[in-house]
Amino acid sequence: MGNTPQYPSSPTQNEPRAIRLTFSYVGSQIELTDTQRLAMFVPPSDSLEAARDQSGFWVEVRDADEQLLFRQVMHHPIETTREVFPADPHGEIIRTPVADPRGVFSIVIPDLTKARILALVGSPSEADRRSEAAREMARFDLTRITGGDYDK
Amino acid sequence: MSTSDGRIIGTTQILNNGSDINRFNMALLAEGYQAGQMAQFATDANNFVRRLSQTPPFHLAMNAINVFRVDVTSTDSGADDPVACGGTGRTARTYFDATFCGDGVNQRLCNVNAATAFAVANAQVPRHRLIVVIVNSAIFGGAGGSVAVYSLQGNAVETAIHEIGHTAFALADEYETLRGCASGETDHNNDPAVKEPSQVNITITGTNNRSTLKWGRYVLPSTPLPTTKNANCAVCDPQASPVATGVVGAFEGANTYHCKAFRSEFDCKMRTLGTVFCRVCQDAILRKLFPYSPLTFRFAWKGVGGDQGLYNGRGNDSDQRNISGSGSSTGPALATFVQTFMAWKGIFNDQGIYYSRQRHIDGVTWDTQQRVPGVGTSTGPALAVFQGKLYMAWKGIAGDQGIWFSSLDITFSWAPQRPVPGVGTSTRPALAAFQNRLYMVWKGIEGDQSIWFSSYDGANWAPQAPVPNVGTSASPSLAVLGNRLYMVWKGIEGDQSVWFTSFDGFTWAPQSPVPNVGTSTGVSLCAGPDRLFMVWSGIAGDPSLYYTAFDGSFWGPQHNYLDTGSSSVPAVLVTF
Repeated sequence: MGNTPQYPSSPTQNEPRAIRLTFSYVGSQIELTDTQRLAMFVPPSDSLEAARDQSGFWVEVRDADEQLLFRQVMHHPIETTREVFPADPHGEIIRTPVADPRGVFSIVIPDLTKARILALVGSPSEADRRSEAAREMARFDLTRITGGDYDK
Repeated sequence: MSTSDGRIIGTTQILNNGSDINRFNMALLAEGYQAGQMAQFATDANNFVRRLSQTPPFHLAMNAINVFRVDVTSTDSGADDPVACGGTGRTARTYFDATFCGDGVNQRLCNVNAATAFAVANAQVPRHRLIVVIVNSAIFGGAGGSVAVYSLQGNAVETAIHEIGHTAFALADEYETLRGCASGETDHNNDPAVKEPSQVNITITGTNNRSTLKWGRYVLPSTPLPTTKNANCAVCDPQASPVATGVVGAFEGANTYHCKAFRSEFDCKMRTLGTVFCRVCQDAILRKLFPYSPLTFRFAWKGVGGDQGLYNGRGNDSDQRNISGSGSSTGPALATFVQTFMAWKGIFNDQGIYYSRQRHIDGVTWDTQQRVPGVGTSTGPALAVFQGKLYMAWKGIAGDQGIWFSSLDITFSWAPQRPVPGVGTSTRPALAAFQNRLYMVWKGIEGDQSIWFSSYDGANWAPQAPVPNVGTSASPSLAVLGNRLYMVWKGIEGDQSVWFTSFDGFTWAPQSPVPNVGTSTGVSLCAGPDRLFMVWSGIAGDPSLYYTAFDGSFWGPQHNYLDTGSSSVPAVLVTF
């Protein structure tokens, strides 16, 4: 099975352009730790209209006027509980609290010409507040994203 | 215990469906494998791919996925196994610092250093969409979050597949407890139900009505809503499902709460590891994966009963569109010849054969139908491309059980019809090009339920021969996968099961049943690059359309093509 993949040095005109952003978090504090520009397909945006008045977590890419350009619903990345799985596949899955939530996650967004702002929108991290309305947890200025050349 | 306890050997692509720019790329990372155990990791990684490909709905979308195996050695094998959780107290010097007892309480929680996993994946598989760490240990364990982790014990791989539901497809937990139903927990009686969840597979609103329920399109009018209510929110709902497995409704208890949060089916892999993803979750996964796939599979069919309209849709979208100005009493055939090409018998007593091409960029609009001059059928045609031409074969008009054929060249001129000598059928034949010959199979004439085959070299048809020990009351179908010609068919009169066999150019393999499917009309088959896709309408009384895929050894479970139906055999066409 398989062969060693080869990566192009840069996207051609017709190749999709994307940015991977890798974050770390401690508690609810989210920090951007790495960016990569990539020739990489990003699926179409989730519904832009549904972005209001919901719980959960999603990323938003906005233009300079805060108009929504792209939205991607995600699993809430801040783990305040962790799943414990049963050895019996028909047994009960439970969750156990995380005493000191910290971790890493990444997202991939389309590299849109008009994009200026990346917002991470989520319900409060505390386990008992996950059904509250999502609010902006962090925002990042996409014009200041370096990330180097494509597929550096 | 860190990255100094091992090194990255390299990356190998183990599932290749084309450029990683456009695919859903998975990075499988080795943890706790010593340098001499890399062959074992290769086996374990292949086993993961196989397990995933046999987990519905991934069997329908594996062509969207590339998998990369990242060989990482560790000084020691296995993972830490702390005494605090009843372990041996063994510590292992491993690259990603895996440890059971990740919360200090539960041995089964197997954590790794996620930051290291991301650093490795970002460098080795820059276009990854998912990271899975395989821990080389016989102790059961796994974990989720941004990185899926599982060990090699028993069904631990199911933990990774559940976690993929979260990480890659944004699915919520569907279980109805946080600490366990026997824990006595009192703070998870009622979901706070403040705002509707953004996840597609749980809801807090609209559970009394199909029109307002988030997944209402999946709910049959006969299914009560809500389907279950928990009579005592102080505990998990103990009642058994009041509906059959797989019925979509609204079941109270989800999102770790006993009440006020609802799931769509009684059970789901997002609730119980040892079951399949529910239909709502399956479609959420397919919606995310299909945009990555190089495959488009199209279906075409006539309507139900007296509806002789022709419809088509892309399996990727689960939509249906009427082909205006066209109709058939028997259902169409599809092929790719320059563009997507469809041929069919006319409506009612019109035994003419018509065709159309779908060449508009929108992939929806069909040309005005054309009539194939001077031919007729009572059952419908079959199509296949052979030696640069589109061949069509068909049973004659009512009273004529002979089989006729013609071909269409690149100028779109039909050759005069000719009979296939010495053969006959009461249904529709099937065609496929195989080993530089055009193969045809067909049911025998009225009263003969055996299946016959012949082949054509471009000039002459070989004498017919029976496919041994098989029978059908309908039309068989053909497609080529690898170096074998596959045939599928409905059983004989009274047998609604579906059977398959394959042919190596000399010998037909013994027939085998396609598990857990049935039809009253027949089945259609088409080949993708590495698997077959089959579509059919259900057993008597169930005109719903279903489809599945076969990878050469495994038939995946059937998947209902939602909100469609046919009283005849639908057609399937895969393009890539």
